[in-house]
Amino acid sequence: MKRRDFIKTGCLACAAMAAGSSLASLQSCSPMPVYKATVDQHQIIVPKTAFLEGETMKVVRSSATLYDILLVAKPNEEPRALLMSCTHFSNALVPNTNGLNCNLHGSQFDLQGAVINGPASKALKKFTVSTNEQNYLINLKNN
Amino acid sequence: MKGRLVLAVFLLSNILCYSVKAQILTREDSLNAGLDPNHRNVILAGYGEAKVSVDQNLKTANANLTRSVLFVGYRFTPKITFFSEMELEDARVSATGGGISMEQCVLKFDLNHSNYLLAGLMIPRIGLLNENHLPITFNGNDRHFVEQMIIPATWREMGVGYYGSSSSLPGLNWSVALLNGLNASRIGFGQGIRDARFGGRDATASNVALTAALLYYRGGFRLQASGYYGGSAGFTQREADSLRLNSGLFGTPVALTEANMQFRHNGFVLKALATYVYISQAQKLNAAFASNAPQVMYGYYAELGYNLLQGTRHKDKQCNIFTRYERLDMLAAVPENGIDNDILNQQYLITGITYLPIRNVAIKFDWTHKVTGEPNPAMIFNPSPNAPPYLRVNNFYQMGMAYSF
Ligand code: FES
Repeated sequence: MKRRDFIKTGCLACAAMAAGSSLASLQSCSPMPVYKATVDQHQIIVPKTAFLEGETMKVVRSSATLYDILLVAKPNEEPRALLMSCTHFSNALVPNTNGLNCNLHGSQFDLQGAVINGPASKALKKFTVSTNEQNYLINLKNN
Repeated sequence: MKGRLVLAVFLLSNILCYSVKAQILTREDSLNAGLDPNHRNVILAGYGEAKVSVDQNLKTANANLTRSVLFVGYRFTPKITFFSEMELEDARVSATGGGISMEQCVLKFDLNHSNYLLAGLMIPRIGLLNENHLPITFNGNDRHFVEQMIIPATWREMGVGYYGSSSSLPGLNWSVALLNGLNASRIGFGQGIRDARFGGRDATASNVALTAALLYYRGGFRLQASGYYGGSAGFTQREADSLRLNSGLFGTPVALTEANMQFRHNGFVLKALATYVYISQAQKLNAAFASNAPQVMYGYYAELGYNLLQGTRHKDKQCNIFTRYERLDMLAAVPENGIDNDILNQQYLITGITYLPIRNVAIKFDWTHKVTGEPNPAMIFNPSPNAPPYLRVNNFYQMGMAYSF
């Protein structure tokens, strides 16, 4: 194969691979909308009804924190809330279905807040979450 | 042998010394809380790397503090932040080498939670290592060769960039940036576009570049594609005319495209990247500067790594074994007035271990096998035995350390 042909084929193959894997991923994608929450006495209140059928995560925005909070509420697991601020240099994190990513230097965190990939070395800040009949209550104190 | 032992002890003592200092210096904790919207703070941090490299052909060893970088950040307001990275290369600056430079110096303006602007000396999102170049995040003592020689990381220019992420499609991010262009007179044989970067120093802004990237995280995947298109002739009309080059914003353009992916699963990490550079008017560059500029350059690599400590109780440690294959050609196509030379057609096989006793410190061992094409006989002006013969194959055995805090 000539070098020119090789380059052309190589580039086409790369493009096809990238497009293919992106499309495959897109098929099972669902949006992760932001819920604008109210704050009451150091608690962020998120109604359970904010989670649509089948949803297990919510990005929660409030006036109490500089960064969004990812509220993870999976069946048979304790609900948890993670501050979406990278523990490396405080860049805002981007959530996806498996964890959170930092675009500044590439750190990755899982949905427990643990570091999967550096340079960040500390786990994400976690808030305790309690529940009542209607709401999830993210406690900003005692963390 | 004795000498190498001394160097090893010297490097290890450096590791200990730096990791202790890191604990004292870092102040990121105070920013991480993020609870106070009016919080103001300074971030002081850094990273660095050093290595000992044994050259099998020359039978020599070389020890170098490759880089030491100081990072200073400051949050002016919740929405305006300053970031800077100052790098000292090769330990000191002298007439024969070393360098001190700014790797980035930007203001970040947060427009909202998922969109921001960068302005200043910025590192565009091109390739895997350009944005994320901390040495504890990649395997091997050398940055990936494709991302040194074809994509000239760390590639930074003056400019303005818009960065965003989608809330309706989680994991999708984009960036667009307008930068100063390249320096046509420095594009040439063996350097590609590396020396043509301005890096924030007295750059010509009458030629500009546009770059854009799409980045998508999904499951264990990280997928990215980016492109760069920029003019390289920031001359006056009179100069450009006398050099017979096209000036203007995108005159004498350089185009670069790349795509890369990473996949992580159960301790396995797969990385791959491919890039292609096209300089349509390389013939004019050669006529103007006799630089033997390439018309086409390309490169690609793939790496497979595995963390041997995956699933053990040592959650904060990593012991990654890896193998990477890289292929690049800095003179894949030459214009009619260029001279082909296959020594820039290179392959590398790198294999080794990266041990991270904690996440911020890496100790690296690698073996690098390098193979190049045959030199063009017409370019050998001092044939053997007057000069040593050109050896197409070489091996390097390297040991080093890296830190980031
Ligand atoms: S700020 Fe997140 S990795 Fe550096």
